[in-house]
Amino acid sequence: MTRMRWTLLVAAIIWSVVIIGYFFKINVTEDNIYSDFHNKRVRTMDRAPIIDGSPEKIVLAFTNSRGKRIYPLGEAAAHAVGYISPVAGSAGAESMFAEKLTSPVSKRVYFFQDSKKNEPLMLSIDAKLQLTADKALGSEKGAIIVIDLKTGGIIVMVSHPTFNPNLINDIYKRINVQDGPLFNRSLYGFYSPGSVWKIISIINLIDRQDKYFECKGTILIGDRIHRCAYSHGRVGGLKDAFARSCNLYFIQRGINEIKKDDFLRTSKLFMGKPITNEFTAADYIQAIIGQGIVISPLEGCLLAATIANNGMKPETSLLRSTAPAKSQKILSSDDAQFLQVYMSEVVSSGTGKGLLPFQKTGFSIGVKTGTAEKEIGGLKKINDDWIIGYAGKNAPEIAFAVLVENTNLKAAEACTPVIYKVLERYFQKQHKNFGRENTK
Amino acid sequence: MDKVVTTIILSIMCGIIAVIFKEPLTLKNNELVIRKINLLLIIGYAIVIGYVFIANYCSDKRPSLFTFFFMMTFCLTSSFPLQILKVYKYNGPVNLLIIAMNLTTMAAIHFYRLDLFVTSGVMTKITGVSSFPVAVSFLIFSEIALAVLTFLLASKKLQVIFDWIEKSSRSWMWGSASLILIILPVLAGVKTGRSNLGLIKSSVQTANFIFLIIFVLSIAKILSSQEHMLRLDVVSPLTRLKAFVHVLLYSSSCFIVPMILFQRELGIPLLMFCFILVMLTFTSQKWFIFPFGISGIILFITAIMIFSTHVQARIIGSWLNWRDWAFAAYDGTNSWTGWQPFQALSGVKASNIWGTGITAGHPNIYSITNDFAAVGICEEWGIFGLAIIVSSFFYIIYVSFRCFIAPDFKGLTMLGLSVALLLEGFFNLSGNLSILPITGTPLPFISNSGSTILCSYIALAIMMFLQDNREREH
Repeated sequence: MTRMRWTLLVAAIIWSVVIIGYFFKINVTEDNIYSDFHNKRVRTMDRAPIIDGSPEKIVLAFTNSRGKRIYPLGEAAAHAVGYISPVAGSAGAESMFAEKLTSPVSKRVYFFQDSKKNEPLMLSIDAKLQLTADKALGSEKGAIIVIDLKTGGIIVMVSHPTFNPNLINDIYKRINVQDGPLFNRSLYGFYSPGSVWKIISIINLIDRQDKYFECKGTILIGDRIHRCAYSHGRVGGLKDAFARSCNLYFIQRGINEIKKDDFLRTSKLFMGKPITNEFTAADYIQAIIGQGIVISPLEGCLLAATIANNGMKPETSLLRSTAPAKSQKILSSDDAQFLQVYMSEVVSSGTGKGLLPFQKTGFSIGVKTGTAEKEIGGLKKINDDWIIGYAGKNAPEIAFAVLVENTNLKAAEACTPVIYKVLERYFQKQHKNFGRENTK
Repeated sequence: MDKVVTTIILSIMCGIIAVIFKEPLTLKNNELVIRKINLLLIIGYAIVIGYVFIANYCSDKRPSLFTFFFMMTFCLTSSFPLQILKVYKYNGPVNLLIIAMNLTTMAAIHFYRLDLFVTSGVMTKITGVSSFPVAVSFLIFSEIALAVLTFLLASKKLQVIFDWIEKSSRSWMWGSASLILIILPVLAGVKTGRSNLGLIKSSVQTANFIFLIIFVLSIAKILSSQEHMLRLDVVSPLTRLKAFVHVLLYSSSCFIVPMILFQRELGIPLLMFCFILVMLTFTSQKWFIFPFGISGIILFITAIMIFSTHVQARIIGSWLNWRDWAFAAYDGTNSWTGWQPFQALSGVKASNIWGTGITAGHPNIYSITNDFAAVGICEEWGIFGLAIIVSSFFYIIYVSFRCFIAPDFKGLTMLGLSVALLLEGFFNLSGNLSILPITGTPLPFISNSGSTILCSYIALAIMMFLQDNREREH
């Protein structure tokens, strides 16, 4: 009986130790509980300010004396910076970097616990460029993404329609709808890339003998008629077809010279959403001209970045960094440089002529436009327009993608003016003589 | 300032615990020490209540003067039990009473700080108001429970009751009492353990009373009775097996199964089963019973999970897989099974080991005055607050360890009550810290449940009586 009594006592001691030990364990580990937004305390904690990555260190978010979170850029940077709200939760950088923004947990004993606040969080976003891009997109529905090729930092992230994060508590219920202002199109929206996807065909055709083609505007394949925007006449070769975006040239060469599996394999290097296994011949023809498959604006930007980076696909980040971006080799350097020439030709003599002034000034710039048709309600058709590309002074410095949704215009008309303003502002900032050179 | 005030009350309570562990204190021999302890506790309590009142006033919360003054009356009424016991010459150790009052004081401070209201229950019915302060309700129940404890000890009625139980009571009486208490509320129209009868609508939970008093006493009676003496040298293995089966069948038919069927209770039946395992292991001195029984419980629960989505949700959703939900993207809603356990962990995490200080935390979780009371205390009082709770329950077992000499009825009752209280504390704290799934077990002396408070103090009265009895026999 004595042994049993001692056993009971020991069991009670073990129980006590387990409870106290588990209490310690929770406090020492599981740090993500501390900053997870399901934890209501997060909403009242001190948060560090968020600043942009430019030398001016413009404030993107701060907490005022009354404890309210203020977003000076308002609608322009709503999706990049995000918000924090007891009603709406959190989003954007406020959510992604919650642990960095909230005060560090001090493990010191009681009265010696320090209340050290975190350093400001520096994003890769360039505030002034962001404002310009937001204004350039205007009332159009769409997205703009610009990344720094050297660091992989996202310097512009715009999504329209947008919202004012300073008013999120009041407007959340109204705007929390499918495909509404809260939806970040630049990262999570998926759209058919249209002619932008001809880059994939080029990657597969680069090593083959070039051919010319007579474009009559339509072609019958099987029981389906495929069209170009207009009859291109004689298309001199791959470069010409790319510059002038001749659908029929790519369809004809694609179905005769590129195996469907090769096309899919190359596509998957740049696509996040998988293509279904039931990929028919008809689907393939559509995919050659960028219909029936979808990518996000970020993926489009990374396609351009890979070409501009001599075949190295960079890792992107919203945090400012001076270190070179980690990259993954996707294409050979020769193929990438080949594509750079082709994209440059689009500006010189193709659908990117609206950006010719930059090229004439001596800046390195290459683009590809894409107009993807889609049906909305019955037989009515409308376009999702794209322009992806790269730009820089002597060598590519940035890659970009602009998407304008639901427009009757073609890509050259809808997207080129938008990216023009962004590039103009970028070059003014980065290269002091740009304004003077441009007026010559 | 939060931390200064918290340090004061923690120091007082930890000091009390240290003194309690040192030696048994009686009103006859240690009256001065007991009065000093009581005085210190009152002073600490008054300082904290006053501070909370001022802090709420300064932060524009408009604290109720009625609640404040009522809370301060506890400074006076808390010494009544000791005064009355002295008058009626109760000479047994009062350590257990001081421990319980320590916990009650801690809970009263915590509930006052929370400043929450109940919208249903006995107090709202009696007073006719739509909402009643939780702190006042808790204090009223505690004072009633203390009065009952004082009466039982001062009137020496427990001796008569125990003699009758030991000599005259039979198993069928206990079983019948249990069945009546389980089924009566159902006959009154309510399937759970609550009553639908007028004044006591929705507020009487018989499950706790059945477990802590009736079940413990009946099992102690059975295990100590001549024909079921389980000590090794006395009975053959076959007789021992028959006794095991008898206990299990009796418990299942009169307590566990009816409670599951009629009151939809799962937590208390689980406690009962664990209690039986401990008592059988203890009295038979067969070590294998406990792990064997626990394995059986786990298998049984696993089998129930196949048929019950509620049990599945409790165990898988809220306990095993809480991280899958917690760290997913916030979608503006709080609806997932593990929401409460996650909030409990958030509260514990927010303590930052040492506690935020009284009034500096953000205790915000459904049922924080009941099943999750310990979480709120952990957040603001920190490791020392939790240690006070754990060491209090440990002391209860320690007393039992010292007093339990032989497996007679009184010895087994003493053991049984301490094990029952420890199991309740264990399951509640384990659920709060996500060591085990939540079982809905209240924390004795701390959770704001009138039935639980009353039963806990009655159990305490019985333990103090038995301790006194044992001390006198020696």
